[in-house]
Amino acid sequence: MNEIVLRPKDHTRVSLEAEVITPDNFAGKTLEEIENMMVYPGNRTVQLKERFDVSGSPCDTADDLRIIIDGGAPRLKRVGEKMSCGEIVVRGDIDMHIGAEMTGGKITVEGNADNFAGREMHGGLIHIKGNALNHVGGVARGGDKGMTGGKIIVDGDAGDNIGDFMYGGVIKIKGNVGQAAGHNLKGKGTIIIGGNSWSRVGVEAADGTILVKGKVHLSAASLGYGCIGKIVKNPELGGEVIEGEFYELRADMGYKPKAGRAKVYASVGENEHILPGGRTSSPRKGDMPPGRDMLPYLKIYHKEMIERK
Amino acid sequence: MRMTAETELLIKNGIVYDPINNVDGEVMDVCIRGGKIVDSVSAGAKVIDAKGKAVTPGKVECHSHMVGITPTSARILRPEDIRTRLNVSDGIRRAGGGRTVPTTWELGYEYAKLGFTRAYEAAVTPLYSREAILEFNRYPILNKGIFILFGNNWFVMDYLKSKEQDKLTAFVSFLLKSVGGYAIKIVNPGGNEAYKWNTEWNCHHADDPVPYFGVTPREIIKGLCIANEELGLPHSIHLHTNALGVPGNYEVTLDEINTTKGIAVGSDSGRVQNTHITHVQFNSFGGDDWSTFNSKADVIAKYINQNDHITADSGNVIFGDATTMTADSPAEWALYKMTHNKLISNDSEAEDGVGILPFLYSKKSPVHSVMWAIGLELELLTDPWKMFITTDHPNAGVFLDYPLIYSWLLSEKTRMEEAEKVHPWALKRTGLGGIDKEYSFYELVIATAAGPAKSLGVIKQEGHLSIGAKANVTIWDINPLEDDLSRDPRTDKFATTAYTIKEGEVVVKDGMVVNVPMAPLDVAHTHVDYEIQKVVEDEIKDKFKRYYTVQFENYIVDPDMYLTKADKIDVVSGKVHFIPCATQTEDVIK
Repeated sequence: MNEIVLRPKDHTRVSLEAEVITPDNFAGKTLEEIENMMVYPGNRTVQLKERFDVSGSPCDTADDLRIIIDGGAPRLKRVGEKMSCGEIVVRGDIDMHIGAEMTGGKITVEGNADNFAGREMHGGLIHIKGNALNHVGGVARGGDKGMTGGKIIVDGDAGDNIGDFMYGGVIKIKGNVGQAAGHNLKGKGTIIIGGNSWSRVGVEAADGTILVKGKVHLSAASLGYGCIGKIVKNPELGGEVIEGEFYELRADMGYKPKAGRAKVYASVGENEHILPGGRTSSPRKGDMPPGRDMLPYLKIYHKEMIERK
Repeated sequence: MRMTAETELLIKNGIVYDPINNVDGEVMDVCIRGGKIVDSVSAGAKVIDAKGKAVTPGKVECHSHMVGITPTSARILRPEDIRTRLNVSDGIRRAGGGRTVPTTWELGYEYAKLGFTRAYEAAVTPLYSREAILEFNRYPILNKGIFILFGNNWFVMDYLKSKEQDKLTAFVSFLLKSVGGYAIKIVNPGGNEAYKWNTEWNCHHADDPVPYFGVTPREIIKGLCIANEELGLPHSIHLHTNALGVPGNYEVTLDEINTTKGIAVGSDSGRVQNTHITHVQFNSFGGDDWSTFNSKADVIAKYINQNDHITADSGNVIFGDATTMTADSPAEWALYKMTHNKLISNDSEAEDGVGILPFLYSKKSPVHSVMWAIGLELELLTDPWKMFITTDHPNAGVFLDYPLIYSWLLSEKTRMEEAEKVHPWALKRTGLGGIDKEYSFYELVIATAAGPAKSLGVIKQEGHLSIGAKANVTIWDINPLEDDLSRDPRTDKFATTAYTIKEGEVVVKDGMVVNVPMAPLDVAHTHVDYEIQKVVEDEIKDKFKRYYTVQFENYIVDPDMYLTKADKIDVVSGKVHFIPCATQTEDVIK
């Protein structure tokens, strides 16, 4: 595989929009041509070479091209936008819109990613080894069609609104997530959360699946939790079997016609607080906020619960 | 500053279309000096060779939602809109974008590219007219004006309730002057007020009384029409009738436009109508519910053809994304219950309401297909002097798609090709299939330039190419004498002009904006008897404390701060006098 290395020269506080950095754009160009491509710091236009040291071996086919951003670029936006093949490796942090609207290829971020990682992506793989902020695999402001395919893996935590308006694909977060994960989930999308999830999981979600291995926070807004109430063992999601027992719940807050048809799986071991009369076992600082007493119309099958105890 | 230089232009050998002067495709020269059309120019004049090109007066947009609180709220509601179209600054144009709700500057450039030289903002509540004026002051190239909403105003209904027509007239005069308006807009008279009492209430027909006030939409329309003619405003009342978007509403429409029949026109601005009914496509529905929904465009068209007191604009549907925005909040609420899209429903105190909701017109939808056909039927069946082409931007479609409507009107072939792509109801439930009429280029100029200019009362200044008229001229890369527009309607050539000339300055050349002058806003100044004016002002001040959250003194738009770039249309006993801003505000400009 041929590699082109971009080494960031300096870190300014002004954001740099560089949607040209994709294997598709770099393929078939000489190093000099790549150096002369345009990027946008703030409201100005400069050449790529003013902000990056460019080296490596160019090649003609984007499939065989790997772009390495050698070092953190915490203000570099829109890298890999609309890429269809090849690979991008970021050796550090990256700013918003990494891999937005991408259709194929692979992006690896060794540091953290800012908001909108994999926004509206259609295919390919994004692997973020640090944390990601809000709207992972989500949709830009005001839109109503988010991620439709591909896979996003975040090894750390993620922020709010991950996978909003998602129509397909898989998002896998190994750590905790913020609130409203998978809100307005619409198609066959799958979100797997390794840690805890803050309130309002799957708000207005019409289809798809969200699995939470840790705690699900119960808030006044998440009224319909438990309206299915059965327990599933080792469900198969996103092409893999997930070990453990999970309550199959629904979260239906919302006024949209099909809201409430998505499934929310919440781990049996961690979620006693959502049972009738349940309370959080150990409210610690930094943990999930204390659970509330059960809402009166919650319909977990009591019999099954009693048998378990 | 306005252009004062004595620049001279000679448009040579163009094929001139000037319906007001009955010029239908004659090869002649047009001479321009100092922003006016003149009979001859000196030898040093700049020459534009228009051989084989059509030369027409600048188009006039009679109904569009462009500036003010409603489009601005819609811009906030729809941040995704700017992603569909985005232009960077090129030294002449400012950066901007958006499609259904474009940015202010972008609107001016794109309208000028389509050949427009004048546009009217269709609905501004008096309370928020400041914002519309400020935005219009930064709106390039086009002349403009604001229609002020009166149809649900508490003062109007109070005076109608006590049957004090003279005070109503004085109030209309006072309010238009105070907030910088140009004409009276009536939206869903009474219905918005009913909606404020209960979301399921509305005024469903002309005799459905308004809660508390007890007046009916018929009385509101008639009272405001009489006030309009007593004041002699340049434009007639601009009416959006009740029951918009409800199957079977054509009867309400006929009933309400018949209300103003017989009221004499009291203005010498050149108009012959006393009522302009707007986006009439939405008000020509037949049937009892959506399953029996059909077109009654033929009935409406027949009425308009037979009666001279009415003009209308069509409100054609264009398939694709749109943002519905209207002061008719109950209609928007009905749309919300159908679509569950994001909605803004707002209330402007004692005046009116507003609703905004993004909407998608789909070719697969039977109802939308029928609506598309109704718009075309209305235009094809009605005299173009009485039916103007609009999309009610951005309610039924975006103004950028006007060339599509022109193509469907100019060519039966193109129209039928489109009709086959949409839902079969478009031909089954309407009479569109049986219409073989095709617009000529001359009729298109009537329906886009001469007709609206006449209806809006600006015919003394523009809308034609007579000697002394404002030199608003468009040149098209189309030769209607040789090109067969019915076979190929040249949609690409209608998308931009070859030249747009605004008061003698070339502003668009070959589809590029080359010059960005600023044109003034038109404000109507009317006069009523001093004593009645005094009485009404005292009453308003008294009621203001109870009705409004703002002070009376802050409500009135200060002309020295906001209207320094406004042309004054002074109306004295039915005679319209045009006072350009340069003469009224010399000290301010210095």
